[in-house]
Amino acid sequence: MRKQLTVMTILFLFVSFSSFVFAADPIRIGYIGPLTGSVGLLGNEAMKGATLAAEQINAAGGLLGRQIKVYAADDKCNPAESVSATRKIITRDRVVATIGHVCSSATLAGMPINKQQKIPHVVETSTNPMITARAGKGGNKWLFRPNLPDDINAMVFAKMIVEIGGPKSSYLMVNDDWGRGVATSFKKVMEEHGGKVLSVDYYDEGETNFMSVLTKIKGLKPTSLFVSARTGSGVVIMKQFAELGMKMPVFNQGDMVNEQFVKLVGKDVAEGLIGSESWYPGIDRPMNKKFEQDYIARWGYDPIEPSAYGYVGVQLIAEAIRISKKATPAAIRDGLEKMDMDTISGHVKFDEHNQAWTWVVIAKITDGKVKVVKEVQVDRPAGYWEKWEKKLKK
Amino acid sequence: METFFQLLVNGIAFGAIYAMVAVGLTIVFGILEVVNFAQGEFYMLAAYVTFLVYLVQIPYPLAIAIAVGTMVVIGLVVERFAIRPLIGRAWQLPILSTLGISIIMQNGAIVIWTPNPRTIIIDIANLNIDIFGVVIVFQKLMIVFFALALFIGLHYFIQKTKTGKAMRAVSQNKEACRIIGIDVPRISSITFALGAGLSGFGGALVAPVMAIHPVMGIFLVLKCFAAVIMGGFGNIKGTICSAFILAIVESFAVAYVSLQYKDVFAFLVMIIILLFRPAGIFGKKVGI
Repeated sequence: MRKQLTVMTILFLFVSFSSFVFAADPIRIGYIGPLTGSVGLLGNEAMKGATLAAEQINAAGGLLGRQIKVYAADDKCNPAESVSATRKIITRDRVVATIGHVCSSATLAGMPINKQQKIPHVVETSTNPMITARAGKGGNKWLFRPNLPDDINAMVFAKMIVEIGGPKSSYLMVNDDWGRGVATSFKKVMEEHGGKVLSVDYYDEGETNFMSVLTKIKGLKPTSLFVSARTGSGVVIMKQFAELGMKMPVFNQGDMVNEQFVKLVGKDVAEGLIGSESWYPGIDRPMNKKFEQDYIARWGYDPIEPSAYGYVGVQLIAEAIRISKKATPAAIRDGLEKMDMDTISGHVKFDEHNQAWTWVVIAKITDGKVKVVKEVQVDRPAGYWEKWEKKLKK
Repeated sequence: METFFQLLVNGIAFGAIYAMVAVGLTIVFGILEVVNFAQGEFYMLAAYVTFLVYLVQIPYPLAIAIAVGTMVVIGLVVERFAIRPLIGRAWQLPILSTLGISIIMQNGAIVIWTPNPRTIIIDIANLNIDIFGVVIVFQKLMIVFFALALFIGLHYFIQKTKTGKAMRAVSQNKEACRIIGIDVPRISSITFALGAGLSGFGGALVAPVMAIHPVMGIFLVLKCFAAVIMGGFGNIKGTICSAFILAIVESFAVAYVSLQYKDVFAFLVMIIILLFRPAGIFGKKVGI
């Protein structure tokens, strides 16, 4: 009996020790985003982009001699779920950094948890201006955002809506922090450029009946329709838009200008749709072309916007580890602060509010394909953060 | 004026969809006294089956038949294993059981088809018919037409056929039915399959005009529950009328008040009707 016990103890020690010595623990990165529910498509695409980035880094020898592993948690695009998903991935999967959240409401709810647990987070998809207004200087130092806030997109895109789509516009927006933020900032810029907003309607995510609201909009006779919707609801909106025989140009802030969307609604219905983002397929740069080819080779179809953002998110965390030569949460945070890197969605260098000033890309669906119309490099407007800091104080 | 009629047409089209699913719910409740929380999932699965069958280029009318047939079979299986063993026991058990089936079906759909939305694009379904500025697509016209045909058929089935009469008898008194030799388990199977089939019709018919995704049933079934309550639990005619009333009220509330208050108005109508007619819109107690 005693002999057996001794053998067992030695075996146990050997096994536990060997795993410690021989297989270095992978660097754990967490992706938090909507993996189920009506926004699930976007979260899954972001996860695929993140996985691709991790695989490429691992194939090139990993980081600090270790591999990267991406863990996923489902926030269901819901603030309450976001809090528990963030907690879960930090405590259970013991990640050193997180990326993700598609929905701004989920980001705003999840970010205090990152601060509390001291785990850096890169928001690669959510665009509500409030997120980085609350980050960095005087706020949440653990949160970084490489893509542009909505009010900056509005400066370029809202002006374009007036120029191309005519002066009278109706808005149809999702009823959350993102949709409401987009409505406020776009309305302001459009009115500055001589446009007029005839109506603003908000729908809840998961809505399937847009017939009546579109009928109302049709009766108002606007020259353009501005939709702030993600792919799933966008499909239903555009199907019913066509059903009512409406013809006005449609502009989208969100995730409707991509090839998956074209497949879902059909070429005729999607034709002419114009959108603005920080990344679209077809940007003429070697880095972007390579990403698109790699993505198609790995997953068998074209990437959409969140795929690119998930990819960039993991690359930024990896670069931060390279900069600070350590894979601890605090070192990654310091690394992100020193970031100065070209990515497929623009040049990323974070300012005092941990916001990067990249570019606005405008694209249009032409013959069933996404065509980039223009890329505009954006500089921070004077007094931008002062304005937001004032608003936050109120 | 155009807007007014367009809103009415929209309301009627959605009313027909609500009604198909709600009638299935009400029959199952009226006869088996089971609240079927999985009713919305039959609607969702039928849409997916239609999508799959249509993918292999089987013509759409045949796809509808296959989808409905599949739902009837699934309905029979669910009834045999999840409902029948619980009938006659505490009332909470069948509710939990159907809730469980609903969760299994939703997550099963996520596993099999991912949460990404799917669509079927059929040119004729999306053909716009323009009548003095009021537009309706061919498919919506079909939905209304099919729904009315189904309800007439159902009425005939329940009132005139022997099985229908047995169903009515079971809804009144199960004990007496057993005494006079009505096969109650068989009636239970038929009822549940009928409920699933009706939901299946709804799902198969909306597939070309909606996005198909695993949670499409949940949003619908809430309204259908409201229609069932408003119609007087188990009352088919009441349920059909309530479904149309709900959808039309919603349609006008969206255009003249606000999209955000859509559900408020739908449920407000339900509360007002229950306030004045506590036993449902036609004021009859449970019964088919």
